[in-house]
Amino acid sequence: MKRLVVYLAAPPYTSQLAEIALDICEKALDKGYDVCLFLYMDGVHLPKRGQRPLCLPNAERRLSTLIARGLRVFSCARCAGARGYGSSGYVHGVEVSSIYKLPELLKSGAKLIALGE
Amino acid sequence: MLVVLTKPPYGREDALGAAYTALACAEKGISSTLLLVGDGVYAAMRGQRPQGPSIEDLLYASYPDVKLLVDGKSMEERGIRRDELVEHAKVADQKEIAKAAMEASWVLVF
Amino acid sequence: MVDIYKLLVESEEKRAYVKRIEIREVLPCFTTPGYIRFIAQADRELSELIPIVFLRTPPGRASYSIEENILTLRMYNRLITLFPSGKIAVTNTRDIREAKEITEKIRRMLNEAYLEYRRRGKPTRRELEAKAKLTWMDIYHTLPKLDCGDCGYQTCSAFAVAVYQGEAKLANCPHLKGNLKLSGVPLSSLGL
Repeated sequence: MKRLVVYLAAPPYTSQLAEIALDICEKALDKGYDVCLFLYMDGVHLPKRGQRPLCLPNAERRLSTLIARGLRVFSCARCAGARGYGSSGYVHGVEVSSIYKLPELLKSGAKLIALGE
Repeated sequence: MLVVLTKPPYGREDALGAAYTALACAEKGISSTLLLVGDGVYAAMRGQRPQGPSIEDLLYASYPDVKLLVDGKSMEERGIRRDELVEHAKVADQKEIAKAAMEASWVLVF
Repeated sequence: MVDIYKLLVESEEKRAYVKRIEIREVLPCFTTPGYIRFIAQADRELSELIPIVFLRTPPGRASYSIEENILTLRMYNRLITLFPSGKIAVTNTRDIREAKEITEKIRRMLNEAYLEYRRRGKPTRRELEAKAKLTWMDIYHTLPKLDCGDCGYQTCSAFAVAVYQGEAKLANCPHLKGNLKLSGVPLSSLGL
């Protein structure tokens, strides 16, 4: 199975980058890819539990749906820890790992799409 | 892996993130280059004395696992001399940068 | 009662070129248990010593950039990089305690190199280039190729590789001719 790693360093709502990342993940899952979402720096805000956006699509809900479809989500422990995310702050199904996870995911010959500002 | 840094150190987290990512990839056996362009060239200046982690120290500690390239044009624009940079920085011209980009399997831009 | 040992150590310390190396710890992003890289700063510039250390190190354990005068050594199971400014970068270290031990070893190595520098002066570019080009084959070609085993290795090629890696000394071969050279440079100047 071909692997796609989507790297996201931007938070939801501030810009559309997180939504675009989820779009890409969804389409890749549709095509049968092994999709991994790697969250870095402000990207670690994406899986926060309890999001209630008033006018924008709920990123937390969309992420949870994709996780249920097989999306693998990894969050950098250093970045998450800095922003106060312990084991309970996130939706279910996110692996809090280290930056070393990124090269591990890439080494199998995966493709990378990076989104950040 | 080519990690490109366009932001200066300390003002934002990007320089730390970029340097760590390049180092992590190198430690896991992915040959890595850290390219500093635009305001990113400030990350390689010598004599940094931050209160917290020093990007300069991180760059030194990443040698020789991470190749450090600094865009010559960006340096010139900002009036930065070669001797003001960390000792292992290689000043690259546009051709060398294009080559690094072409040779990389993946590119991350900070 | 005079403590002779203490006097010797003190006088050696007074003459030491590098008196102090200060450690500045660098943590990786997420510490794998028992593993850090660290940066240290010697209280002296190392630009004159680095070429000497390069010549003294077995070729298989040294990677030297002549243009930048930066030397990376593979020793004590880690990489140690010496920069002209006196900065020293070390990988693969367990903790601060081990960092201090390694730093002290590096300090002694630098001071020994300084003594050699005082004796022989600055190496020539030719010597440095000869050492940089040196392969285990070059070492092999200086050997008598008797495969006699007197050096402790079964074949001359195995011995040549061992010398290259610093696991054996060239002088262990009892059948060497004198005045061996490489690119016109005596092998003894190249640390072999």
